[in-house]
Amino acid sequence: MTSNGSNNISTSPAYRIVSISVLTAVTAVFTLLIRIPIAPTRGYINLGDVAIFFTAFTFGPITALISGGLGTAIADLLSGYAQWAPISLVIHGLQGLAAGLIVRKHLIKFQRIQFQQNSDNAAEIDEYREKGVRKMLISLTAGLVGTIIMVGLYFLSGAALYGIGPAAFEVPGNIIQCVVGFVGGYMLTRAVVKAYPPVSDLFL
Amino acid sequence: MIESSYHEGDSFVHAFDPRAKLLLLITGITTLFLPFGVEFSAAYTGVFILLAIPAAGFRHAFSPFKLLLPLIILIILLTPPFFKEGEVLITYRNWILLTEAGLMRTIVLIIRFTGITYAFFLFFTSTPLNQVVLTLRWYGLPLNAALIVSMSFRFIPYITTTYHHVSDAHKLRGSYQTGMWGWSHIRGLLPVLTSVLIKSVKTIPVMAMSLESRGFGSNRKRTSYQRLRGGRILFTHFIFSVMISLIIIALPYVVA
Repeated sequence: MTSNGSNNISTSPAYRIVSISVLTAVTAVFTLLIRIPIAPTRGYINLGDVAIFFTAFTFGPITALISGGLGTAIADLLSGYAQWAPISLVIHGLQGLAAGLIVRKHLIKFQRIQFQQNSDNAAEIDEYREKGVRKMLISLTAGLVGTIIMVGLYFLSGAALYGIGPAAFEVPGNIIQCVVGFVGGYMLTRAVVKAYPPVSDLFL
Repeated sequence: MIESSYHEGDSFVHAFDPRAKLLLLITGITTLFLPFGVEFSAAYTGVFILLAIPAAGFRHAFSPFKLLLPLIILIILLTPPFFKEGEVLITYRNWILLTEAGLMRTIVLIIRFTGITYAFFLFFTSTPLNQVVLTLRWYGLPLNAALIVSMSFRFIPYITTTYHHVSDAHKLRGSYQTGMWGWSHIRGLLPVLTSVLIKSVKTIPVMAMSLESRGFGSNRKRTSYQRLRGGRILFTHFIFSVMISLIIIALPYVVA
């Protein structure tokens, strides 16, 4: 049984297919639609990584693997950068998978505790705070690993496609995008779990 | 939003079977990475660009260059400093700016990336997305994966519309800035994205039930709304694409 009293449907194949499809579309829309300009370089960062980290933290590694990879690949196809689609499929998929695997065992357990914090027991509150710090550290580790995977693999594929110099030039932008993605994804996970608690039962 | 790069047309590339086209795409890209020499890479890239003109129209055929230009500039600026071998072509005081090896490498990288870009452009400009999915199915993509791809395309307009509705509602309340991006704009984005995500996530159980009601998971034989043509045309196009693949791989050896 879930926190809202219904049977857990998140293991049904139909549910998994639809959740991956919806989150793939969310990743594609976040990548295509929301672009924040960076004044000094005249470039922009997209929020695709926000959706990937949100999916990893909320829906788990398998959903993040498929929707992260496929969502960014679809965004590349639709925006005319089809040559990047296979690379994005693999890199962002691995980024989501790694982040999801790291938080898998810990995050949802903590999120459930979060809703039980209206306790008068001081020991329980202390325990919650301690777990809150651990949760933050685990999420940070997931963000760091996701960033290393994304930035490192984009550098390697860029170096293979158009040389080490241009590939190295893109590294700072990719780091900024990934850090924004992690911070945004973490904040969104907290906000969505707070506003819509049943989402914490959907982690696979 | 989900308008792909597909352009309707009746060119030779359009008429070619997408399954055979995908085989040629893979061969073409692989060839650009093989050590055949710059002249062959340039010739193959030239063929891709020439084929793009009837497939996409003269005006649209050169649109990938707009996307490529910033990267080409980066390659020109940042590749030569990594190569010090060969005859020195340009120096500034004691700094070697360009050598023969650096120049060759820069040309190779520009041609390769242009070739890859045009190979993908040709494929997606002449193949509708539904045919791309059917092609991948023909090559063994599982039904569930094809379902995810097609359903994702179905959800993209819905989520885009939701995003616009929610951001408009927040703008009317004065909590979401428009115009120049700044901290207040980024801060205002969080509630908008939260609402979009909650609305999207809430559709999942309903859609899952809908999918099950339509027979998802049943063992009965599946029907297909659309099919790719088979028979003699497929055979001819496949033979043709295999022959072209063999020629573009063998040509450098024959010439050498």
